[in-house]
Amino acid sequence: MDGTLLFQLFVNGLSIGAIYILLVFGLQLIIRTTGIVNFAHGEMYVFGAYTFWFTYSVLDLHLGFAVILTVIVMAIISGVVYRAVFHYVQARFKADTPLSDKALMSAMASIGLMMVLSRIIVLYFGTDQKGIPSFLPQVFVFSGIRLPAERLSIILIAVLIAGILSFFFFGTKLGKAMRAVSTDSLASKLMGINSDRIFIASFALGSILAGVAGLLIAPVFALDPAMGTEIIFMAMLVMVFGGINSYKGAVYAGITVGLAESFGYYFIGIISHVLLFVMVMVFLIFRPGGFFGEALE
Amino acid sequence: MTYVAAGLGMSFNMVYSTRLITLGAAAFYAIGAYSSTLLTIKLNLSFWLALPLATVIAGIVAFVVGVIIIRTGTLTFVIMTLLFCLIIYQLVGSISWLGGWGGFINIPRPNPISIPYIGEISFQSRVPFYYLGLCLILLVALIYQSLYSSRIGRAWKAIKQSERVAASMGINVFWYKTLCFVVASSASGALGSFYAHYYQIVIPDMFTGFISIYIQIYSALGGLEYYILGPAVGAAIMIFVPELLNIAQDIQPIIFGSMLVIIIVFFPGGIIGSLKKLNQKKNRKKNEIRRKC
Repeated sequence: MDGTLLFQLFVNGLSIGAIYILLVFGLQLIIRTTGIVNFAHGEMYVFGAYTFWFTYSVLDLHLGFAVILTVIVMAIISGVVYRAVFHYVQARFKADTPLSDKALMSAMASIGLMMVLSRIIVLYFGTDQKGIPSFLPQVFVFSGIRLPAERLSIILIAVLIAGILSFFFFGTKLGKAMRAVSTDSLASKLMGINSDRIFIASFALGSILAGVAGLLIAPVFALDPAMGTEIIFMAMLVMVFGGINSYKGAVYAGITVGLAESFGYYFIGIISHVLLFVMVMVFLIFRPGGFFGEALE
Repeated sequence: MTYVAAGLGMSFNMVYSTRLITLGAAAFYAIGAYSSTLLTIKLNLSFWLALPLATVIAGIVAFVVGVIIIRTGTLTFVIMTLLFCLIIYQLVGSISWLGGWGGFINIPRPNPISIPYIGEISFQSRVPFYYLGLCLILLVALIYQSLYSSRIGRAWKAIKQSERVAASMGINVFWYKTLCFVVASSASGALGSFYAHYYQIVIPDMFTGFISIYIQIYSALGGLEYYILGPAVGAAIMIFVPELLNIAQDIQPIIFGSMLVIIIVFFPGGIIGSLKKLNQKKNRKKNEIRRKC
């Protein structure tokens, strides 16, 4: 056991944590603004990864062009999904209903959606794993520590995205409107905000975040259609751990869970998932709302 | 199988009666099956002792888990129960003492029992099992019905209407919710025990999180508001219709998933609820015509 291995595990953990953070940001954005619990979020992540694979590796487009195309496709898919399903869930409730009613109904509906979408991915792309040639094959070596550039790039891009998001929420009109709707959708409606448009925009933004997470993970791991259902549960665990309505909690919880997974998997194998779950359960005894959240009704 | 599905659906509806959604049915189902299997194989207990013990074990686990996660709020409860399913799945798979991924085979069938007037019943063929399952499911339905019509059931109803009002009426919301979760989960455990001895094998793949989701579909199809009849109708339809139509395994999840979405979003009452609504509309029209005349 030497220091370099530990450091590499640390970097791997951070990069997994960064992926979790991006996914959880998307989930939280959707929950807080629209009140919808989206179990199909993991499939958005898979869609993102596969779109990127298709554009970058099959169509052989330029990297930047492929990324932009992925984002656009994610926006379109999520818009269609929202309009087809969640719009009707939304229409069932008045603006001032408590969050939990809407959350329960949308949770049930989105589980159905998850089944449909994951099956569509399997039917369309097949069950075999697909790899993407790495676009950053370099490996930095610092005094014996080998750091793959793509892992570092995940961390950097996640930090960058967090910065852009905070600018978006506090600096732009659309972001401010989203925050207003998430605080009180009835009052913001009275102030002249088109809340339907905000709902669909925030759903699309959340899904784009998931798609970007999938895009970032695509060169590191091989793509397979089951990866969405695997990661959505971990992301949900991270969200519960950090507190459902706290972005700050998501960051801390994402890093903790990412590191715990990376070290735990190396040292004790697959049982580490069980221990992680038990750890979160014990944590919830003392803080039912997670790191920074309050328990929702 | 229909019995088991119906019973699990009833448990789902029961938990829903306090405005919680549990996706942990498969976990307690697995706990029941595994504890019953271990008791009969490792300790050589008879099935008739293992079934109640499995029920109790599932109840105890549900109590421990429930006390922790019910406090965390509705949304977290949904997520944590689903995660609990996956964790149990991984736990029984990765520990070799619990059978590993291969599971157990040759689980003993129940000992023959002798009932006065009927004679001895041995459980070597499937027919007695059919009646055993029927008895079990009727027992579960009976217990649920008596709970619903008692003080406890009325408290659950109050909680479903509004938690705050219920709390201000002196109902201890937390303990009533926990009770609901424990009763529903131990019923799942009993059904799991029955299932293990019926098929004589348990493998982890029988207890994935998808079981919980399918159970949710059964309940939603029958009607979430109809606690006992709803899941029974839903499970019967969902198990017989795909076999009759011979739907390919490939597209089954697409059909089931879209069915769940459509039911939840457009017909929240399920089949029974929609039929009732239709009936009411007819009656109203009849009345209108009568008034016009």
